[in-house]
Amino acid sequence: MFAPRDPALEDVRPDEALMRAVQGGDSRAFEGIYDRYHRPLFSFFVRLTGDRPGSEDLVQDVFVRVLRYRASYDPGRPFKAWIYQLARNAASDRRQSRAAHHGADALPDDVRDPGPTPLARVVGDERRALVERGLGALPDEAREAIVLSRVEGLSHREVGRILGCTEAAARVRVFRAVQQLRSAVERLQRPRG
Amino acid sequence: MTNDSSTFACGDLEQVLPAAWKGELGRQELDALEQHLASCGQCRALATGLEDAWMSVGLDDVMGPGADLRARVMRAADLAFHDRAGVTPAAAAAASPRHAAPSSSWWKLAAAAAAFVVVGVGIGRAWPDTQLQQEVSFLRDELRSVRHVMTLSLIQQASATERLQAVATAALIDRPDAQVRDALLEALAGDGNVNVRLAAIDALRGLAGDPRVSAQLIASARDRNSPMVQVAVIDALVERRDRSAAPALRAIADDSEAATAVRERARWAIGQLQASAI
Ligand SMILES: [Zn+2]
Repeated sequence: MFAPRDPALEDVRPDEALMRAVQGGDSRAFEGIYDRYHRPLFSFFVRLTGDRPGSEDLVQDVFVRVLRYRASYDPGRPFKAWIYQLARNAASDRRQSRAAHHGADALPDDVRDPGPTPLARVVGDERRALVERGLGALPDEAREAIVLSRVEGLSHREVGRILGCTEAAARVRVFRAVQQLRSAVERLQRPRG
Repeated sequence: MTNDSSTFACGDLEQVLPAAWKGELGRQELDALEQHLASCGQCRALATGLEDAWMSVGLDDVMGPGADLRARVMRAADLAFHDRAGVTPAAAAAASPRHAAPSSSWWKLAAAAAAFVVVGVGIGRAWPDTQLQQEVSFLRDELRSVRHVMTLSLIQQASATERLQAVATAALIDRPDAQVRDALLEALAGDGNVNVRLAAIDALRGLAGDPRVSAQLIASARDRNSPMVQVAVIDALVERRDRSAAPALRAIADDSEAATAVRERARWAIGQLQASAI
């Protein structure tokens, strides 16, 4: 007896095969990609911007881009790097268009609150809270390197693909970003005088 | 700095340490690092401090996105799969407004306006009576002016969602007046939200042949800040068969700083415009 085709079985296909199916118009495959990536992308944007509703919009934006640019995806290349590149573009489009819209003087809406983030408040751990604030104070590229490597748990090889550099260069970027983070935390610890 | 291990220099630390944190080092590399740290106090202190910072970055799973996100994305996907050319994000966003709360008077107005059209057109068809048709035509004019007012007031809103609604409303106007056109051009040129800019491109479709629209589309095609807007604008120029765009498209195709997808699209567009000229 043949068992009915179990839709859950489709989930074992690698990302690249799912995306190839999406290119062929398979909406189930698109759902599979959504299920795999919406949470990591959401956490990537939340940690990057500190803005939850804005991060939902960015996640939606990424999946719209996946569909819009589906023909340009090369299934011979790692899908994860491709979708994170779309995610970076989405975040940078938003930053740039906000800056353009509000003028150079105005702070972008998504500038991080210098106070404890909601996440840090929930965590309640003073050290963690401090590090969260330090992370928020870093330049975007440094924060991005740490979020991709540490929070998203991507290998440095993957981080390199996403940032468009070698694995070795990705490691160096992470190292320097962590150095910046450490200095930022030290500055925050210093009593204001 | 001490460096008594021949296989490891202090300068290697910045490449090796992050790999060590993530368990990416082989046994030999790890041994070399450990040996070096045992003998070099400066690297040891640095490594300890940085590892502490690294480990302190919380891994706590942020609470997942709201339950409606999946539905929003799938609605957008549905549109895309029915549109071979690829989804227009503006259509996707309009199909799934984030804050569809009926608290906004826009929704009531829009619903009333839609009912107006449906009822009006329906009646007009069923009873081809001149007086009735005049009334329908009057209602349509009313509707146009309601839409104009809605567009102009909403497009000033601070919230991107409301601006998006304004632009989506403008897309329903069959002959936008100059004020609405200028508001749309302004949104296309510099709105802070990409979706609003994309929706403006769609809304400007009704203005074929307007030279100001062409000029702004061409200017926006060169705006590298948003490759997504660039691609949508290029598509719009092709749709308008706007041959005055050809020099700008060639410049984009040759612009080494433009995104690859944009350059490819520009090349494709040049081909399309040439084909339509034959
Ligand atoms: Zn050393």
